Amino acid sequence: MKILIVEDEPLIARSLKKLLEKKGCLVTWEPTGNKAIEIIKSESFDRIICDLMLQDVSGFDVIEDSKERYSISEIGQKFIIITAYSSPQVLQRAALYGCSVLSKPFEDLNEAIDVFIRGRDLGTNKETIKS
Amino acid sequence: MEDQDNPKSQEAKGIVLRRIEKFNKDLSGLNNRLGKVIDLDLEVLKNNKLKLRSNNHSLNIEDENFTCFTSWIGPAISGYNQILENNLEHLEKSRKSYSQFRRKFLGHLKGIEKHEKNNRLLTRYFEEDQVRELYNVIHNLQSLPGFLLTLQVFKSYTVCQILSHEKGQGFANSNYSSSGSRSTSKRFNVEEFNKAFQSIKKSKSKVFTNQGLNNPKIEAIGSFFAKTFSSNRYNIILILGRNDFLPPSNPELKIFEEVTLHLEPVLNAILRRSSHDDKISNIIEVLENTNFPLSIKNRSDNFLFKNEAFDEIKENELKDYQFLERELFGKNTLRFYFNKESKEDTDLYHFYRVSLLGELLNTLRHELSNPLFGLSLATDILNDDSLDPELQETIQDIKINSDRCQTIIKNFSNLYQEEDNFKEFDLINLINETIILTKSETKGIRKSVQTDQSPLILYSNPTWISQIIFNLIINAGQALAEHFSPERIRDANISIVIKSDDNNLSISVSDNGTGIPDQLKDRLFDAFMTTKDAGTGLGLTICKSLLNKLDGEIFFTNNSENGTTFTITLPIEKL
Repeated sequence: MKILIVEDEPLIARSLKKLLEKKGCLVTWEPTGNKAIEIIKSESFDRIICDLMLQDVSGFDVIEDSKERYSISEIGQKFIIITAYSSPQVLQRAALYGCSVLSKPFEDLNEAIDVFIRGRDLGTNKETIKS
Repeated sequence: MEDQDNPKSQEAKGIVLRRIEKFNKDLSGLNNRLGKVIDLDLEVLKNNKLKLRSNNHSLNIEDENFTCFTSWIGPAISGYNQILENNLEHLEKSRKSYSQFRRKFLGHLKGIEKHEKNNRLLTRYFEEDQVRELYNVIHNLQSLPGFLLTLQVFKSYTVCQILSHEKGQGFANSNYSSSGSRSTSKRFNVEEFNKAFQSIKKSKSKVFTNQGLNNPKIEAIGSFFAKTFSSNRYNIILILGRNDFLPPSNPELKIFEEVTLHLEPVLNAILRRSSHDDKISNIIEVLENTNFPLSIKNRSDNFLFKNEAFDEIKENELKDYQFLERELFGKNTLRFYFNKESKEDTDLYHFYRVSLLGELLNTLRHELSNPLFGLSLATDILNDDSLDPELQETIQDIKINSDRCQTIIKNFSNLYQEEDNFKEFDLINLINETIILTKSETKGIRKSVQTDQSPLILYSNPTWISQIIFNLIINAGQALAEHFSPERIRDANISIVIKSDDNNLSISVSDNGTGIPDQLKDRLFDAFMTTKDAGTGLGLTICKSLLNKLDGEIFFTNNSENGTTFTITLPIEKL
């Protein structure tokens, strides 16, 4: 399984990469949004874990640009948003793309890894469910 | 003694002699009634010297100009007369106070002597009541020219004009009086003033003609005296004339010079006073027209001042107003009224404060949250059973600490969430978090939380409740810090007691400080009421307003031993 992590905090990205690799995934890490967009256009991934607050562009910009390659339903399946700022507006916008949102910090790390591997509808992060 | 032939001098001599005569008559009347209590002779000698003698105290006064006798003999005699009058009745009752009377009397004599030696100023030319008038009655330049013309010493003059310019102003003022008519006041261009001022100032002579000065603003005709004065705020020109072309005599010049020399401080005092009056009338105008109702009352509760806004309040509406009171000089009180019902201001203030803090905490939360989460995640990866146990423990500590930081920042930002944030929360936890927030204001003070139930899950507005508790703890902390010295702050104590049943909740915050003084009790929840230098006076007002929104109440009691307890009660839905 090919996973792309778009996350500018190296400790988070490296840890997730390690954990997912332990589960047998092939993980690429990209800290900036613009480079991530290029990679997404040129390579195919089964899952894209994307932070919203990147240094250059927002995670939503990455998703928006990915429309060139993926259909809306594909985007909903492939993208999982991870954010420290899950305001109602953020959740609403994520819902437009049909993406899951996981709040950082994750309440349960194993559950989160599960979501990353198995995709949406398995999100058990409480904040996601409540909203 | 050329002046002896001068009619003015003769007139003055007549006045002096009549006064001395009256004085001697009063004195002999007194002595007849009481036996000879005063040993005093007043005598005009042939060489125009005046001799005063009392017991062994003798004073000879002479003056080159007899006119001047009027100036000091006037106050002297009225002074004696006053002493006689004040003491007559008293003396008749008790002869014992004679020595006291004599002491006063001799003191006055010495005062005159000293006056004559050191201060040959105003009273030399002006009568005492004129001096008093000059200082007390003449408040503005407009009345000064007319006043100067009434002086004995300037009796022969018919016109007087005072031109003044306050530095920095674009205009100058002229006040002109010709004898018998009221003085007129005019305003004119400063350039014309400066022209006249410079030419008079530069001239060595004091005598001018209006052809010479050629200035339309100078209203005297013919030849006249002119003199300039300059203080750090004003330039002034004084003009004194007779509207004729005869040049003034030398003695007249001498008197003019001497009198005007003494006029300078008087002029400055008058100008200062008149600009002070201007300032006051400006202030009064502002107070008069401000939208806030204001009143000033004296000690006996009578109005000294009411502004328009105050007058507009109907009598039966006054009870709806709160006021802020300040004691002014002289025990008068200024009251500033505002409507109790208009809570908008405090609410708005509170809203700003909460949203600002909320925003700040949110930013902080985001900035810290990510790296802290990274730290925590990384420890999961790093912790490997193969590591040295001590290292494992250290990595575990890093995780615990970063999670703790994460929790603290999260709880703080939860305290200041959006206003209408009603949700489930644990009250005990919220109070503990709030106590942490107040740490800096309650340093060293013991705090305890007593509750019959923990956790206590409610559905309510945690932001508001935390705000209320926060304000009460801060108030208690500040009261305690005032009451206890830093060495004894360990004896200070804040205790929070939470009681609840199925429908109601009460939270009380008690301190062991001084308690609320009686005079503040009624106004404690009023907006802007504060006893602290840096206080806004809004803390308790905010508490009350938030509790209104929660259908709750707040009240306080002074504890039986010491300190105060604030209690809030709320209807609740326990979950």
